[in-house]
Amino acid sequence: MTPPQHTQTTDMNDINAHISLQGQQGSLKKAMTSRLRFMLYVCLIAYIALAIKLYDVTMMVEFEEPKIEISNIEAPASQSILYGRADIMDRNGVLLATTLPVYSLFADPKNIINAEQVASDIRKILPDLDGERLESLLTRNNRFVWIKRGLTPQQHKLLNDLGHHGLQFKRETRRFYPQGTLTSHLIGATSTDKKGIAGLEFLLNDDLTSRASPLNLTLDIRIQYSAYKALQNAITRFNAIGGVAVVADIQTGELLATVSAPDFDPHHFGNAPAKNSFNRFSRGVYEMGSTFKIFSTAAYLAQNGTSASDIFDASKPLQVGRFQINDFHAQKREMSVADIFLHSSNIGTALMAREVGVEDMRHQFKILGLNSAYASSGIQTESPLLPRVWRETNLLTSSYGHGIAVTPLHLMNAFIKTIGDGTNRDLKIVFNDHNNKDQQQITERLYSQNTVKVMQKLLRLGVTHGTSQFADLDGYQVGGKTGTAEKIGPNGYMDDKLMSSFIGAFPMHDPKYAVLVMVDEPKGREDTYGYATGGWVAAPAAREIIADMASILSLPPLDNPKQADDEFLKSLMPYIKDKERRTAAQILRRGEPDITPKFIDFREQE
Amino acid sequence: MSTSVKYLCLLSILLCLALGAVVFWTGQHVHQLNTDIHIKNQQLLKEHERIRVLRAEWSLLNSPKRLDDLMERKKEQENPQQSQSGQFTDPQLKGTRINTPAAQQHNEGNE
Repeated sequence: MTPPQHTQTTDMNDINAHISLQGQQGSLKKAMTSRLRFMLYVCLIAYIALAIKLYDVTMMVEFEEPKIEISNIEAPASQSILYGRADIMDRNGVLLATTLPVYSLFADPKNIINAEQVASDIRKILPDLDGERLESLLTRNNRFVWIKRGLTPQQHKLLNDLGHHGLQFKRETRRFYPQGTLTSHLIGATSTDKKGIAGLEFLLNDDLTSRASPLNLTLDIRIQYSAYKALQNAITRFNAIGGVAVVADIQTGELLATVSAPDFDPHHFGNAPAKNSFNRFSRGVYEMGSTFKIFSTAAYLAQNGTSASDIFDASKPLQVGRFQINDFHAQKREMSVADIFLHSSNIGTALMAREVGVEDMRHQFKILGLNSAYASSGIQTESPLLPRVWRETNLLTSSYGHGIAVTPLHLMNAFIKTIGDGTNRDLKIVFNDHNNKDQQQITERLYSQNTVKVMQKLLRLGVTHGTSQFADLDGYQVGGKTGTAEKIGPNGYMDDKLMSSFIGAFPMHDPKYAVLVMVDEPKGREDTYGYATGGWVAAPAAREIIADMASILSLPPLDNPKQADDEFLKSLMPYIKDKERRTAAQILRRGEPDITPKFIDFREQE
Repeated sequence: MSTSVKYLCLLSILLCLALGAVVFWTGQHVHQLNTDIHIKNQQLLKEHERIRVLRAEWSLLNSPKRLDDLMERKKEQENPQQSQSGQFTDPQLKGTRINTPAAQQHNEGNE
């Protein structure tokens, strides 16, 4: 009965073996499960990481076309920075200065095989280069020599087509002035390393190199050309050595044109003779002569009420110490303020100035900005030449524009303050100029409305009945004052070297635009009876400018100019002795009333 | 449990592979777009440059001084006469030999 035991034992062993197998499988299975779990966790983590990354690259990126500024190419923040300098434009968006890409030619002499042949080929395209010098450059013992900078696109192509191994090109930028000489004194020029060396390029160098948008000027290139042409005509006609023409908007102080002649090519500033690169409108300091009577008359009217009827005795020369003030064509009678201004009487003006007094007159000059250098964004004038000690003699001579010398911009600046709306508004050349405290200036009043109105009438009278007749343009009610000043030489005043000028505005019942023309050393002509005074020389040039402006700016003429004049000047007529209107030639042939100031030289004053 | 874990694991691996492929594709696509933008930006810069040159040229050509010079030069030209104009069918123009330099050059070319 043993076998059953055996069988039982075997079964037990089987059971134990099965249990043992199950145990091995179980532990294996357990291990596999934990590995799978581990893999699952790894995959889950990878999945989550990928999901996050996918979400990031698809959902978190801005769906906007990347701009040129933020792209990974070498694009700079703006065009001006790309080209190193902002463009300059006039008030209508006409380009006055820009920077263009150019190619410059250089050579690696080590790679030049036949210098003679290469030099010959280059000279066929660049004939202005010196052959011998070119050959010596190409045979130098170094790896880099400039051949020509700033090639034209055509020159670049032709030189490139030569295919010489040692010739290479470098891309650079160059300042370009499309208006050339027309705006040369105002815009100025830059050096080869693109730093401003003259004009606005110099004054606004930092602004131009840092600003992102173009610099907009108040200039109107059409009026600039009109002023340029009129000035050139006057200079040619009277064989003068130079001149200035300035046009300004009286109501805003914006300069519309500033011309100085002679001028220069801004692309070759270094080659310009000193006389051409001299900017007369901001650097030239001149005695202005009779145009200064505008300010002394305004000072008198402001101090003594607004009547032009006050009478002064101009029957005899005015004795000041050992000096004597005369009128060129003396009226030899008592004269009203209106008569004094109309006949440009030195005696009468000096008497008015004496009434004003030294301190008050100096104060007037100060508030008009005539006593210091004028500086604004883009404008920097020379300092005026003033008497070091103000005595009565200085007061009297300065009242008719001698013994005090200012720049043409000073004159224009003071003029718009005197005949505009009587507020202190300065000239400006740059639009959007945040430094210009316009609002503060507008609130400051220099002259009463009545004083301004009388001045406007007096200026109109100077054109209708006085020496400025050649400036008149029918229907535009031009008003102004001529001036003729002898220039100062090493030995005092020179009676054959004049500075003839006209400053005026239109329309005088509500002045909008001011025009200044100055011609340096004009020579008399047969058809001007040998005269080269402001009335003959500068007034007609101003008329040309005004006529052009009328069409450029679409300014309509007055409907009935004669009636408008009669109405406008009605209040002044009782104070004028000679009411008859004579022709310009009749008036000017008598000679411009002027001074003979040889007795005084402000530079000799202590 | 083990079967579900196995499938889940397989699914995760497949998902990871799929997502990896999508990320790779997206990365390549972005790279391609960046290249395109780079090229377009370069073209844009060139166009800007051309526009700058053209604007400068336009200002030069329209400078009031140049236009006035041109006007002065052309001012002296005589106005065209009535007799100078007509149609080719006009009898008086038939057989007329025009002797301007341009016409001569044209005729020589034809001959």
